Amino acid sequence: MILIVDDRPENIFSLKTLLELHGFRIDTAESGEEALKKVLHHSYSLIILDVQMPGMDGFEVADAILGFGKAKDTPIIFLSAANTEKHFITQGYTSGGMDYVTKPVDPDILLFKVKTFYKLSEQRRELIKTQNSLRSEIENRKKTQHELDGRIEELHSVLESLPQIAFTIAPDGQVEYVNERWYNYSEKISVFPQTHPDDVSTYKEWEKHFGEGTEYIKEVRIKELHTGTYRYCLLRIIPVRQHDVIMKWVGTYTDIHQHKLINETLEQKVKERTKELITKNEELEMRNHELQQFAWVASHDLKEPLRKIQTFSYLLRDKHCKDAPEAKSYLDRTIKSSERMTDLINALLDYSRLSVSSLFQKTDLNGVLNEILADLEVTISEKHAIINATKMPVIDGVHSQLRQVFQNLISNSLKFSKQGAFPQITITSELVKEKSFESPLSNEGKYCRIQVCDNGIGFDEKYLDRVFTIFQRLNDRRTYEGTGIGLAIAKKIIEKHNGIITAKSKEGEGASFILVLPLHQTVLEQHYEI
Amino acid sequence: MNTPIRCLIAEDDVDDQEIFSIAIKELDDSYDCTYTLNGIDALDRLTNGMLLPDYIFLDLNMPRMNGIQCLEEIKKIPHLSHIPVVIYSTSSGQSFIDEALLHGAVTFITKPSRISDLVTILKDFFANQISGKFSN
Repeated sequence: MILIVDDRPENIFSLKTLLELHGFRIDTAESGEEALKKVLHHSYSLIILDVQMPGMDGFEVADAILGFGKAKDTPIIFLSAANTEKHFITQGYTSGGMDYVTKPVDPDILLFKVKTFYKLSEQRRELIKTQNSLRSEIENRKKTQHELDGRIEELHSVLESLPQIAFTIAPDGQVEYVNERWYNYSEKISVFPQTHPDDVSTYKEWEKHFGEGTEYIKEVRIKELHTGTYRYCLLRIIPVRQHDVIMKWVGTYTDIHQHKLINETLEQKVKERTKELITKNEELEMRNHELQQFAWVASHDLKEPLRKIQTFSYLLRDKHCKDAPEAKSYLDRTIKSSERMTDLINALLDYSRLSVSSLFQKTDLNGVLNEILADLEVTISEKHAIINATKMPVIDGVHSQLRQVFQNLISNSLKFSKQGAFPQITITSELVKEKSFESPLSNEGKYCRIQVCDNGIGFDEKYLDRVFTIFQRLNDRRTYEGTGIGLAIAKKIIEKHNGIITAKSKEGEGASFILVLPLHQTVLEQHYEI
Repeated sequence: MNTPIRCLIAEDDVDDQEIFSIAIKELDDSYDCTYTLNGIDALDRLTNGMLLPDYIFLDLNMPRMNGIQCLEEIKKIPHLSHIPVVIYSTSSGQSFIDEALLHGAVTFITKPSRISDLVTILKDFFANQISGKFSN
């Protein structure tokens, strides 16, 4: 827009008409003051200013405009009387977009000048606009750069604070930054720490990962400069991507020397310990074997002289003591003692034989019980004992051993019956869910719980441990016969069948022996005793 | 009069020899018993042609050559292999019994503590052997 300032409306009119005819938009002011007001609020491409005006003249107005920042670059064309004012104009306003047109105005010249100035002004505006946008671009870039610097600085301070050796590698593969710890292992930023001769493949492997753009992890030994020793480190180099482009690689060496040494020591210790255990184990097996041999030989060799003592005592008693009752009584006692000793040795033999492993086979416990009841028939009828048994299961077991268990338990019940009462023995079996004495019943259970209950003299449960220990007797021998091995054998057999056994009792109120046995054995051979 | 039954007994324990002889005399006084102190002596007697017994009793535990080894040797000799051999011992271990029978013993006798019991055992044994022979 062009501003025309003239105190004469007819001048304004003719100029306005002329310029509007050529497509310019026009604003007008009839005094210097009005012009200044307008300049304050609008931005003009050109001001055409009449010099001769009442009040503020053209020069004063131009001065004021120049002092006003917003319009100071606006070109001004003065309309002046030719000779009187030209001098001022050239003196005062040589710089800037100033010109003059003498009155009377030649429309062609004025139009030419207006066009030129207008064009200049428009170009200037464009220029300023471009400049401004450039400036803001520069500002932006400065800001981004500043942020980037900040981030790198942050990264470096983070890397510096790490307990590891840390470094960054530029996309071209050059190390660009290392933290302080790097220099414990390398003198120069451009040289990687020296690796152990056995770890030479490291650099090649890294090159491969670098080429593929994948993370690289490797355990290496690197040489510490001031000690000259190699330390175990975990080297890890990961690519840092921005918009799928690798911006840099961040690498660390984590010192794992201590862990490694501890691990190595541990491994060594475990090895030694295992070896020790194996040796111990072998030793134990040998000892155990020797012990079995010893038990076997001892009892076998003990039996021979004992049998002879019995044989000759019988001979003496039966053939030579007809008339010597006193001698006969002594011999009876000798025979009885040696018989007891035979029982003891036999029990010991049985116990030692248990250490030998045997095969599990399907064993019908009903059959086992029937065999025992047949064997004990005489004792049962002598004692008027009543024995009741429910249906027993078929289980994986060693027939002879299981038979011994029930034989010992039933004999026990018969043996420890109450004076003056008929022994009553009840044997029950039920399927249970798990291997525990209190396990709930279950038709699909994999274990059977068998109870042998009697109405005998019982025992105090505080002696429960001793009941199952070899040679531990709770009762005096005079009243109740026994070797003190039977229950120990039963316990050992049940354990070799992967079962459990316990007893419940109160003194004088009978005893219940409870066994829990698996129906099926997973390993078909019993473990060797150790 | 019938030819007396001849028995060879290899037993290193003289007491046991005596016990055996008491028992067998009690059973039948006519039995002709020869005793040796070990398996090697027994084999010598058997192989030099001086002795051809009807029954052989071998103690299991003997020095130099035990009952089973002696049994094996006897079974190798053709003119002796048909003679019934009994292994007898203090022990009653099933493994010994099985081993003895495996090597061709006719039976295994566990030495009882009463002579009267041994008499019964021997009586049953001989009765079985004779009835076995007849039935053959």
